[in-house]
Amino acid sequence: MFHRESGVFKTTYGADMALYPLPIAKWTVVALAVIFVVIIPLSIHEYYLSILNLIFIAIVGALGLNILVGYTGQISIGHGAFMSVGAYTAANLAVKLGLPFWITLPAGGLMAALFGVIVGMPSLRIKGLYLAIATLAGQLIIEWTINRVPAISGGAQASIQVDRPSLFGVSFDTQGSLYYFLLFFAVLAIIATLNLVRSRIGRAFVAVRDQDIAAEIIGINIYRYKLLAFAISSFYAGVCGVLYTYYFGIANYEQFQLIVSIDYLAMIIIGGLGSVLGSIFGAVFVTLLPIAIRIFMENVGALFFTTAEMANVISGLRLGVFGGLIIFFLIVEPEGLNRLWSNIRSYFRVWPFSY
Amino acid sequence: MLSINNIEVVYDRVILVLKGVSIEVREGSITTLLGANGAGKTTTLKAISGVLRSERGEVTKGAIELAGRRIDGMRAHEMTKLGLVQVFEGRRVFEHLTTEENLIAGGHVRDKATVKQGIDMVYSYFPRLKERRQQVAGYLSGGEQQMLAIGRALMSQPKVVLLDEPSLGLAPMLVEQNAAMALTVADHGYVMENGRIVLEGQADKLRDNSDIKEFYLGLNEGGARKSYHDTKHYKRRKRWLS
Amino acid sequence: MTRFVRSWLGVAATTATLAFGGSQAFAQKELVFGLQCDRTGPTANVGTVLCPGYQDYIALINSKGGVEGYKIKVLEIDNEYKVPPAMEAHERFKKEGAVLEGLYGTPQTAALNKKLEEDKILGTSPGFGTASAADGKRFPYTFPIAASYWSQAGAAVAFAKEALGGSLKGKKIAFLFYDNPAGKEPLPILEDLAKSEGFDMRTFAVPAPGLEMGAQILDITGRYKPDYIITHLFGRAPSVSIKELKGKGFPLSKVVAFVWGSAESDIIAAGGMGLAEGYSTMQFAGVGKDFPVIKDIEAMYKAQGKAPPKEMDSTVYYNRGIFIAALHVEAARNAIKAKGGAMPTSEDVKKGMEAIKGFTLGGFVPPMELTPADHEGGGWVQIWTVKGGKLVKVKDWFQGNRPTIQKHLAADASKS
Repeated sequence: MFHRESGVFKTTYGADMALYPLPIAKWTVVALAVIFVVIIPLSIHEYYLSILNLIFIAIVGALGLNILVGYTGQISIGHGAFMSVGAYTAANLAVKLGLPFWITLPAGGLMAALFGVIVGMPSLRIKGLYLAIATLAGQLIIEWTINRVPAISGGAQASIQVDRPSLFGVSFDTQGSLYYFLLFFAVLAIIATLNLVRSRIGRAFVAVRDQDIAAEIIGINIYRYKLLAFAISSFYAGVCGVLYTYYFGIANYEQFQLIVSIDYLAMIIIGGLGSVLGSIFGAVFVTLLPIAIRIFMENVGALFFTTAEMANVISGLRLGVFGGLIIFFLIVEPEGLNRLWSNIRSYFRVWPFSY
Repeated sequence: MLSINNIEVVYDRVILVLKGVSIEVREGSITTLLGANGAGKTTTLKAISGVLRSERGEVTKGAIELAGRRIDGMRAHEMTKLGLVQVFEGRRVFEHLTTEENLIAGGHVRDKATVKQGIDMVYSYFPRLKERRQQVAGYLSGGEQQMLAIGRALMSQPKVVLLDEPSLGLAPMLVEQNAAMALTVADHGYVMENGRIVLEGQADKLRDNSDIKEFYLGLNEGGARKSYHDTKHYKRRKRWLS
Repeated sequence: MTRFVRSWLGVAATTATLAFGGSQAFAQKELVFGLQCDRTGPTANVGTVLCPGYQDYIALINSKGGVEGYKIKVLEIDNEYKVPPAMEAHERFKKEGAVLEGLYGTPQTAALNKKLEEDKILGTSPGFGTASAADGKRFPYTFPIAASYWSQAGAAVAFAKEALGGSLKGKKIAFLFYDNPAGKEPLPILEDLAKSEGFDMRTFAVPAPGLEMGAQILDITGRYKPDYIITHLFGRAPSVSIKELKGKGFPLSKVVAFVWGSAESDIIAAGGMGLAEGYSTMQFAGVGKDFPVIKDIEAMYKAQGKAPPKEMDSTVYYNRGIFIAALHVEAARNAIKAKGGAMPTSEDVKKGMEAIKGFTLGGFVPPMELTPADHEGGGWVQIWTVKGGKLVKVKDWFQGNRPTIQKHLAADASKS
């Protein structure tokens, strides 16, 4: 990731397909692990951990959406609804049956996957914008159902309070402990996705996206793989919803409305469609940028405005700057931040002899 | 091996494209299908490989059999398992996968060991692909992409390969030479026009057929080459009986 | 090459922004208040007026030397009515040492309930949030001060009863509500009161975003033909309801709106004050400019040589901003006094909030009494009606059907 390679002479297919193409890559991963597991949580303020926590949850959701939209080419604007399916499944299991998170979390994911398959059915016949509208319908139907069925929603407020997750008697109830809880699942999701996209299934997804008819002709059951993509993607969304539920201590469908689906689409488009690293970049960018802009403007703005005026200036300008930066980055590199990053890497790889 | 009996293909339930086509392909032989633009060659191939449905077409009459088994109505990916694979006109490689990943994807229905064997086999046919194995397929040249498309089809260890315009982009070649080339390579030939088979026979016999010579090979009775302009004009006037 | 430089510049700009993060100038004798707001999201029409009201009141307090010698620093964060930014805002407030925070939005309040309790920082949710949060034993750090949706429902029925001549027996009441959890919250109270008061009630849900309710209004005016309508809508929906009811010829004097359907801007957007003659709304803070505190703020601006902000003219929401700020300041004042002038902790301020009693700010604030058990303060509202082109107070602070609400609070508490 952060290293340059030379003297690589692979002799077997196995070596070529390895997750770590170079021995140094392993060390990069070890270094990252030390930074994230030891250095960061011990050195930075709880506030920054809380931002990282939000990013970790967003990474899980963005990876899921990228599997569907980026890798398989099936557009969906119902991602938020699948999160709410996961959230309410877990909350109901946790509250009514008292089940621990290591059961409710996969259960939420599986239930979301089931709904994903159902909502994904139209993808067998339609593509592109038409499919987007079909998934939009899925989003609205799920929202409506949760709002209307107290057995799912837990009453008029449509929210179910859940206790903090705990493991071996240790409760994850501070930002610091939730950091480890969420980091674990974010890393798990990243590794799972990295392996998925290199596998037979991952190649089939890309084949369906690039040339669906050619994919069918080489023996890929495109119907099955489209639904599989919906299922896997929704599983991630469901897990993401469960993580939100445990993070906030409440399942509430208003946290997962259409705007959330759009936000996640924005993440993967800005980060880079069809790339794991892009999903991570997108989640970081969309979560962090508004905060960064605000903190920046608070510091700079204090020189020019009073507190009361600044509140207005910041919120107005922030949206403008946020939108402007998105456009700027997409103009600089239409394929997203991941591509920007790989451009920088490949530049240094051959530096100083560029050609 | 593959036999097509009197099939009819209708698009959108109203447009009749194939009007009773019968073709017989024997094991270990090469069969070529000739015909002008819009004669129905591609539709015939698609009808066989089962991708017709995604283009809203269907086989309404007749039967297609692979090794004695009915395969019309089967979906394309199921046929691939049975050993029938199509290579499309134009290069439909998976642009974002590398050459090698394209080949691995081509072996989707086969096990790992077969896939490895297959890759080595394809590289031995097309050494050029081996040089490009780590390149993203979208960056291959047109000819290389065509090699890759064929190589990918071979990965599924097919019994029958359907090639649609295989020479497209492979090497610079004049249009009129395609038919000649095809008849040289093939054992058996069919000529299509307007959704019907109008002529069939041994490839070498067809090559000697005077009509074929005129229409596809552009030669006159004496074997001398006519001007392209004349051929076109003549062709427009004369039609075979159907 | 140039392309590459451009890419790097982009990255550099982002990191530079991040590096600026967090400057805490922790001056002596300063209290930090956190305020969440929505100035850019779906409820910006409220936030852009309410939050300046909050800021102006704090500025007024600071211009008079602060509260008990402490200056107040307001940290306002726009959560865009989204939940994750609300959590981020809370953590930021905590980092900056905020002693309390003003919440904004029902889903955001729901998501922060637990965190507030864990971090022991009180949050206020006046006029929104979960009604059951009024129970201070269950939700020790959430304060739905003023009037929850349950209290508003109780008050609306009481007012309808007066308007219909003192009895609701055999009358028909339509409840027109926004189809979301906040919209549905009053339903149990209304159903209960329908039984005890003997009136017939039908509910009519308006789907989000609430701009289209022709079918519901037609159903109400054409078929159900109620004696009275209670509306509970948000955003642009209240003005649509006024316009549609007026269009179908329903007398607006037989309509009362919950607290978020009651701003001047809603009525003006529906076609102007003249058109909405008779339309009644519930209020949990004073309306209009006829209060000493408003005069003080105007004077403060004048002393600075500036004109008062235009938000001030939208008195319903602006005054609610003042209302929230005033209660925050009052809670801090109680806490500082209790500590004998020492710097209060957030827990002290929570106790200070629970000690608010007899604080009226010249009739601006209801005669509420906050206690450790009652975080709502009694659920007081006023009714203001459009008369002669402006909002006129027709009923002073009152609590409607209080026993019913208390019964539901108790039932809700025993359920969990």
